[in-house]
Order: sequence, then structure tokens, then C-alpha cells
Amino acid sequence: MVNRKVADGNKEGPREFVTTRWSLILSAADGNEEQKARDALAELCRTYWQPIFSFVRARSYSIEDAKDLTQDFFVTILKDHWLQRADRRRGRFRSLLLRSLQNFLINASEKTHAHKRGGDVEFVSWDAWESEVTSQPSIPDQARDSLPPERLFDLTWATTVVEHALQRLREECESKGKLWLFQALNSHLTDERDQLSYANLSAELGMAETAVKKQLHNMRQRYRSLLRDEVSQTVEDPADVDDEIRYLCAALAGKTE
Amino acid sequence: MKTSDERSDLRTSSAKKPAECEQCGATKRLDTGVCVSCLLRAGLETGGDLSKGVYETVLDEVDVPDKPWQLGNYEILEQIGCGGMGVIYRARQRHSRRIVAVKRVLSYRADSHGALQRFRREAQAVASLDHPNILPIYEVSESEDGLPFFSMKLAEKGSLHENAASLRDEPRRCVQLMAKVARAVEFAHSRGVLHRDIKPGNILLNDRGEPLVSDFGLAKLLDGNNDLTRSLTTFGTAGFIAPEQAGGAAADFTPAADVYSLGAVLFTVLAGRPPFLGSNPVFVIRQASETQAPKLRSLAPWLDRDLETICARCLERDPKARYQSAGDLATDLERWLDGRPIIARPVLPPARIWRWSRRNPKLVGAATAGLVLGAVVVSLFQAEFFRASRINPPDKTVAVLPVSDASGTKDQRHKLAFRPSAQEQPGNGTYDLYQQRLFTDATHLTSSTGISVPLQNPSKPFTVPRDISPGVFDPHGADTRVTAAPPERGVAASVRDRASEAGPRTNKTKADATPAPPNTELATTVRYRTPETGLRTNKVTADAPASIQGFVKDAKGEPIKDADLQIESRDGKQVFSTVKTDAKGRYISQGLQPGVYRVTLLVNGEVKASIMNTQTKANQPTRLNFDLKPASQASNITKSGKRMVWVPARTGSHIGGSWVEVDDTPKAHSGLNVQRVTVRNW
Repeated sequence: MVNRKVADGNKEGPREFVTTRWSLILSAADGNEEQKARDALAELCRTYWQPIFSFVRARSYSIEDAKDLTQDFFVTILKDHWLQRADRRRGRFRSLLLRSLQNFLINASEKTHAHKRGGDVEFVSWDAWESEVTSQPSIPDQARDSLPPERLFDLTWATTVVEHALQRLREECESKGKLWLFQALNSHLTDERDQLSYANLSAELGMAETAVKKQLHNMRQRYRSLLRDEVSQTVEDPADVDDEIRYLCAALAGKTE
Repeated sequence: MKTSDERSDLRTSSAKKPAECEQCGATKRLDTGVCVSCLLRAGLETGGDLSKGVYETVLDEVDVPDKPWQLGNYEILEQIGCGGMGVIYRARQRHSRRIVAVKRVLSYRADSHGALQRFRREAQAVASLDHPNILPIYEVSESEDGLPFFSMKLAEKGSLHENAASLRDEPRRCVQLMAKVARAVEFAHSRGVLHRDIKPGNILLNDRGEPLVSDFGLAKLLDGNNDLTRSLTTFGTAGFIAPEQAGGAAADFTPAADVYSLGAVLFTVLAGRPPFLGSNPVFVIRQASETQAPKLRSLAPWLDRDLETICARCLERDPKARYQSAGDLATDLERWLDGRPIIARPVLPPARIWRWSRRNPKLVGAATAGLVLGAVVVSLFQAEFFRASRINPPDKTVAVLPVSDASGTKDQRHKLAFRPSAQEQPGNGTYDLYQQRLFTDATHLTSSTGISVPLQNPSKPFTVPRDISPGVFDPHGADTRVTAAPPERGVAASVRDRASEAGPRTNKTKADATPAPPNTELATTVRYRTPETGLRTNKVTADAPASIQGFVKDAKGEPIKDADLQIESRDGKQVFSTVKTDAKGRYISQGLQPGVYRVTLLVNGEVKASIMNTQTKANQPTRLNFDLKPASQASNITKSGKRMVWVPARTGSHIGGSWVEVDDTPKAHSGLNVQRVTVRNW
């Protein structure tokens, strides 16, 4: 299941076929390249574990239970041929994952857990759990208590998308020895022109104003590409990226607190 | 400038900043205060994609160095390396003030989880290895964003790869280094750790020049039961990994795989190139699996035969035929250093045939039948060959074609070959002269690009202004270039009208009866070297007056920095010097003796082009520019139709070749300029 996408940086150039992770996973459900698809699914799950975790937490589970259930959920969808059994109406990864999670939690509440959940597979490394879960600022208690779990799931999902795109942008800058440039400019990515003081940035960075303008312009462009790439990994057709972004914006636009 | 403590810039803190965004009214914000909703909406803005490569070029334009920042207990001073897995920094430990190297994984790569696992495995593997020739890890920690990093000893003198050119003239020193490396690898094996990615870039040199084995990122714990190792398909670096490592099950790897890699490194530092070269890793791995490694002395005849034997023993395709341990290899290297007889014995042809027949029992029968058939073919070929010598071929042809150079020195390169006149064909006496004078090979190993090599301008034959000193040349000077198309794409041809050459043959060949379309980078002239008088072996000496210089640019016209230019002997067997391109893609190799060289371009260690017969003259800089061009441009430059070109090939001392029929009718819908290439003996 491949999709068409304009080649990077070459609007006039030939169009190339790209495979998103989600399209790869869906194609694997038809029996093609199963291992690749498993890897892609695992990668997507690792990326979006926070929305899963926050949803489970919002269902009034303790942190420890939420950890176990999240780990269990991943093991289930990775080992139990989730896709073959899942609703194959080709929903987006986000919505399909949420539906599966809801079903999983219904079943889980009826089970007595005889084995330590996730004990046979450490899907998200325990170190990462400890460091990220305990300092989980994106799910303030107040919000978790006041929002329905589905809405919290979407909010966390939207935040994860943005954070990942920014993290990738930051690493690209870091790998070129330009971390300071990222740090100075990343908070201005969405600023309107009249909000910006290029003179201040110029002084802070020790660069000419024109150079700052160019760098900020390109950083915005690159961020946009990375964000769209992040989103495109979770939809079957890159043409759906705009719709997915709009959905997440709508989720954020409501009253969140 | 934010400090590392403030660098939790990606954390969200909606609880702290509940104020509504002025632009969209949403309340969710990141720590930096940026509205999450606005950041999402940025993805809906119109505008073209900006690729990573282009963005990195933009970042490169900022030439102010990064400011020091904190990572755990370390002050990061500068980046000294960047690999597939992460970044390596030179850093200062906060309390001890010790200068160390810090390796930090970058998580959001395609295989981020795998990268993290490999990173942790490396730390785990090295922590168990305390050996003077294994790079020690000081501390494993985690940064504020939850990503692991570790600090290790900083190897001041870089890697064996970076020092290869200077070491090549010191075979004894190379052997001393590799004996120590082999001992270190033996030690790792004794602790149950296989390295699996031994290559020159992973052998570092400390300030005393002692080798330190590093980068155990792919290491496998022999007794470990690690799921990850099963899911990876190929480990290591093409050119240095053992054939069984490519595609084999991880569980099958033995210390013999590291022995192979040690042999490949020894071969590389002694011969100046890895045992196998190729256009892409798959090709190199296939070569290593299917063919015997070339003999060391076929590339470096001045080396001792025992070193050839040692290398050959390591590079055996059958793991059982190699040294059975890295320690055995170390012992033989030490015996050689002491002047004692080595233990390894060269494999004689009968033994080699016997080994082959054991590996390929089914083929033995087929080979026997093939011998009979071959005898028939040879007799037929002889009749065809003599017929060929009577053929009067067309006059005009220059073609860039894929050839298989069985000598192994420049495998799978594409040669810009001139078709000899009938009198100069093999078997007609003047062939040797032809071989010396008429071949210019432009090699090219990527399938997506062609190479444009400035040779000569028809309207301005190859001349270098006398007033240009080697140091102040203009890399952007107007040049006319030869565009070499990749083999599978087609043939870029310019045409030389030999018949029109009046008078005694000169060294300069004007060419191309048909001017190239203005938007193509067609080579119109090819320079031949002058007849050699005197020196045949060129050397680099301090006061030598000749130089080669130019620039290297990629398909987008952007300079390629840190590309390696090897100035080699004409036959490619000796490397006189290696220079790197600077940030603007420029390079200069000074101090050459006037003469004829082969210039090989390597980008990221991969051979991209090899230009034969590059002539240098005293006090006249020779300019040689490399433009990697999309092959599609070549489609405009050839006339349609079929024609014959002579493609040289060499097997050992035998010089031969074949006529190739080229049909370069453009394929309208694909833009390819060659539809079919068939080889036919005449």
C-alpha cells in the first residue's frame, strides 16, 4: 500500500511513492512483509505510548496498574495478530488503537492477571518508563480528573506529535552542531512577524538579522515537513495528513481545563 | 543561551501556563510557552517540503560554532563525529576537568528503539572489557530528555581510517598496530564478546599512537540470549564483514567473523583499499561471498609474501579455513615482526580446488561438463576473434560504460573508453600503446547520478593558466565536463573523429562533432597524457612542483565536504596521497612530481569516480572537478541509434576486452538513453 507524495525539495521533480508506517502495517495484514510491519507497528506503539498510558490512567487505575496494562496492551496487539482481528475499516492508526484499547480494558477488568503483565516482553524499556512516567507534565492531575479519557487521549496524542516533530528538528540541529540555534529559535516557530524582534535574536545569536530571518524561515519549513511526516506515519494515505491535523487541532481547541 | 537545566524545552507544562493563546485561544502549551495548537496548525501552512539534506545545508551556512552546553556532568565542547546511531562530542568532565569523548544516541532515527538497544548493549559489552587496547567507557548516564549517553576516553589521534594514508608507507607499523588490535579482540572473545563491526574507523589511536578498539555497538555477548540480535539481518560494514555475517543468523556468528574483519582491516591499511570495492553495500557483500579476495601483492607488490599469506588466511570465505582465533592471527603477526617464520601457509591451487569442490559438490559435475563445452567454445571463439581483427569499425565513439575489471582493482567502474582504430585493436601490435594512451576511465558507482569530470574544453583545450598558483585557484572557473552516466541508465558519449586528425598524433583530442545542447554538461574533449619520457613512477615529495586541485559537488551543485581524493599511481596500485575536500568542496594535492596519476574520489568511503591518466606538470596546477549529475541529463547528449564501442577489461596480466553494441535510442517515457546493451564477440 504505497502512496504518492511530492519528492522532497523538488516541486517540479518526479513524484515518488512512499510508504507510511501505517500503510505498511495495513498491507502486512494482507500477508505481505510481516516482519517489517511488526517492526513498524512496534515503532508506532513506542512513539505513542503516552496517549495509551494517559487513557488508562484516566480510567482510574493507579500508576503501577496503568503501567502494567499499557505494557500488556502492547504485548496483546503485537502478539495476537491484532490487525487480523481488528476492525478492518481502515481507520487511522489513532482511532483504531483507541478502539482496541477500549475493548482491551473491558476484557482486562474481567480478568485476573495470573502472570506479571508484560513480564515476557519489555516493550517500552523500564528505564524510559521510570524517567518519563514520573515526570509526566503533559497530563496534569487537574486535566486528568476533569476530562473524559477519550479527550485526554486525543490531547496527549496531539502533544506527542508536536513533541516528536520538535525533537527531530532539535536532533537535526544538534547533529550539525547547531543546538544553540534551535534553542534560540524554536520558541518563535509560530510567532507572527509583528511579534518578533529580529534585532534581539540577532544580538543573542551574534548573527546578522538577515541570517536570523533566513534560519528562522527554514527552521519553520523544516518543522512543517517533520510534523507532516510524523502525522503521515499514522495515516494510510498522506493525502489524509491535513484532515488528521485538523482533527487534532479541533481536539485542542475545546476547553481543556 | 539556555543551559542544559533549562533544556527540557520539549516538556509540556499546560498546568503552569493555562493562559489562552492570543492566536488560537487554545490553552495547551509547551514549556517554551509555544502553543501546541499553533504548532499543529503550522503543519497546515502552504509551502513546499524542506528535505533534511537541504536544511542541513542551510544550517551549514551558519559558521558560528555551537556554544558549550551541559549534558549531565559534562560540558559539551564540540561535535567530533556523527554516525547512524548518534553523535560523539569532545567534552569536559565538570569536576575533574578531564577532556573526554561523549557519545549520545539520537532517538528519532528510523530505527530508534533498535538504536537505543544497541547503545545500551555497547555500554554493557565494553563495561566488561578492561584491556589497554580497548577504548574504556568512564560513565554511563542519561540526559534530561531520557536519552542515554556515555563518556569514554578521547582518542586524540583519530581513527585508523583517518591515519591510513600516512600508515601505508609503514607496513611494519601497520602490522604492529594490528597485532595489538588482534590481541584486544582475542581478549574480548575470551570475555564472551564478539565485536562484529571491526573496521578502520573503529580502531582509534591514542596520543601515543597506540590502537584502541572502539564501537561495540553491534557487539554480541556470546553467551547472551538477546532477542534483538535475531531481528537484525545484516551487521557491520560492507567491505569488512565476513561473508557469513551478511544475511546469516546471528547465532551462527563465531569469532572467525571478527578474524575476517581483522584481516580486511590489515589488508586495507597495507594495500590502501579494502579487499572488495563496489557501488553499493549489497554488491560488496555479494562479492565477498562469491569471490576470493584479491591477493595483497596484486595491489601492493612490494609487500612481503608472508603478509599476503596472513591476509589471505583471514579472508578465507570458509570460516573454518581462517585462523581459528584472533590470538592465532596476533601470534602470526608477532612472528612476522620478530622475523620468525609464520604459521599460516599459502593455499596452493590443488587445495583451493579441493575446498571449492567440497563447498560446491553439485557444481563439480556441472563444471566438468562445462570444461568440455568450454573447449568447443574456445575453438569457436578463436575463429571469431580472427574475424574481428578484420573488421573496420566505425570511426567515432567514446562511451561511458560499465565494465567488469577482473583485476579487482577497480571493479564495476565505468570506463570512458575510446574505440581504437582497426590498427590498434588487440592483436595488431599497437594495442599496448593503445592501452596506455587511449583509456580514460571515469568511474561511477551510484545508480542515481552521473559524474561530470572536467577534462577539456573543445574551444579551450586543457590549459591551466600559468599565473594560477596551487593555493589560489578558482574552483568555479568555467570548465567543460564529461558526464558519465550510470551503467544501468545508459551511455554518455562524445565523439572523436580520429580520421580528421591531421599530422602526428597529439596528446590532446578534440572531440564531439555534435555540440551538446546548452543545458547539458557534456564532455567534449578528453585529454590524453603525454608520451612518457623518463619517470614512470610518480612520487610525492616536499619540493615537487606539480599539483592537482578542483572541487567536488553533488547533484544539486552543493559542495561535498570531507570527500577523499586519492592520488594514485596510474595503475591504482599505489596511493601517493589522500586529501580531503574542505567546506566548499575544494581540494588540492600539492607536492606531486610531474607525471600521470589516477585520481580516485571517495565520498563517505565509497568510490565514486576514478579518473585515469591525470597529468600534472611542473608549476601548473592541474584542475580536476567532479560534478555528480543526474543521469537523465545524459539522455540529451547522444545521438540515437546503435553503434559499437570497445570496452577494455583486464585479467591479471592479460589485457583484453570486448565489443559492445550500444543502442542509445532514447526511451521517451522514461528519459533513459539506453534501452539495451548487448555484448557480442566479433
